[in-house]
Amino acid sequence: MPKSSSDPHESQIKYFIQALNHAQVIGTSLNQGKKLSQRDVCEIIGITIGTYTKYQRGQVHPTDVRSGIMRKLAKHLGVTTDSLFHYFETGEYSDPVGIDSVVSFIQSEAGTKDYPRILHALTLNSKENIKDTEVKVIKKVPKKPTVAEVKRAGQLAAQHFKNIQRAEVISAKEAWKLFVDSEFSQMVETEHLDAILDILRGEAILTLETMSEVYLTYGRCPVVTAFRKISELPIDGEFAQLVHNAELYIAHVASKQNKSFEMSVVDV
Amino acid sequence: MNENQLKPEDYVDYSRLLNVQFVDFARREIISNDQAGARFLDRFTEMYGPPLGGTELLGDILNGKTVLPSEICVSVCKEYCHCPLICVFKSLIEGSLNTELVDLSNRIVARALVS
Repeated sequence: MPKSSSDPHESQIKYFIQALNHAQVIGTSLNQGKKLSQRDVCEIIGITIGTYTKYQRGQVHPTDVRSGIMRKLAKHLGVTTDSLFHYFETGEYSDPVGIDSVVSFIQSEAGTKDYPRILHALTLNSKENIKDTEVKVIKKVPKKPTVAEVKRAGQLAAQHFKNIQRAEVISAKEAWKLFVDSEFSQMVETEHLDAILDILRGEAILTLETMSEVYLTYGRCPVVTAFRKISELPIDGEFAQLVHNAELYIAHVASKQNKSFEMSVVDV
Repeated sequence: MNENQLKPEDYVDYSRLLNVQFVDFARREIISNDQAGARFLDRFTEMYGPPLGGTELLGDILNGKTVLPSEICVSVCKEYCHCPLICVFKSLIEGSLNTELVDLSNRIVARALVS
């Protein structure tokens, strides 16, 4: 039996993170032998990458997670929610409740008094399923960022670049050198680097066209990738939200064009 | 027309290359164009005094908003036997300048001197 850590609160968080990791492995057969990506798991359980990051960092206790999310996680793992919570407490899934045992319980004399509760639960479950379907439909077409939102994202990127210089106590020239020398940036063409630099210098306005071109060319945001390499300064707040929204939209465009696009993990 | 005479398109081309060099300077320094313009003007004033035509005109030329007026260009080139804008760039930038710009500057100065 797995050992639980001395602090039950901590161990429950730890098992919650493990369950999320299991969720990636569980989908292996559905994903041509590869583990599911974090983004896939987010989609399955209906959360954003930002929320997923908080879970993975141990910032959220499993009992604080919405029941709908837990239900989807349990469903994906092929266990009941009770079994999942049992896992958080003990590190072991409880015996699965099969359909046969449910049928047998309903058919038994002992179960008849529970009919009202069972019917009520079935009603709730149907409503939840309808709600889930609606959410999925909305998610399929992410909102196209406005001109003002994209422009603002560019301005906040320039601000973040300055904040990195302050945090790391380096000059703008040094920061840019680290930026262009970072592994991923070396793949970025000079023309695109100049465009990025002009935005970071405050000389150019970021547009959705530029953003989409760069994102789709390199399959991810080279700016956030480089920022992450040169500093641990968190990308959060309004900047993170705008980046996240724009990336959701571009990921949608990428999927329509059969191109790959990896979203940045930011704190939204 | 004398082939040594400068044509309007020479000034257009020269102004375009000056703008390219200016933006390159701003990018190298990772500063805004306004900051780069201020640095350029400071150095220019230090080396040559106030620019002929005024600081606003100089800023507009560097930012590619206007073409270097021919009369100012000829007058300054005759006075110094070189283009001050190129010398200011040389003093501000480590490494070589855009060769196309330097070649055209040399041709413009040569033609200005014989005009």
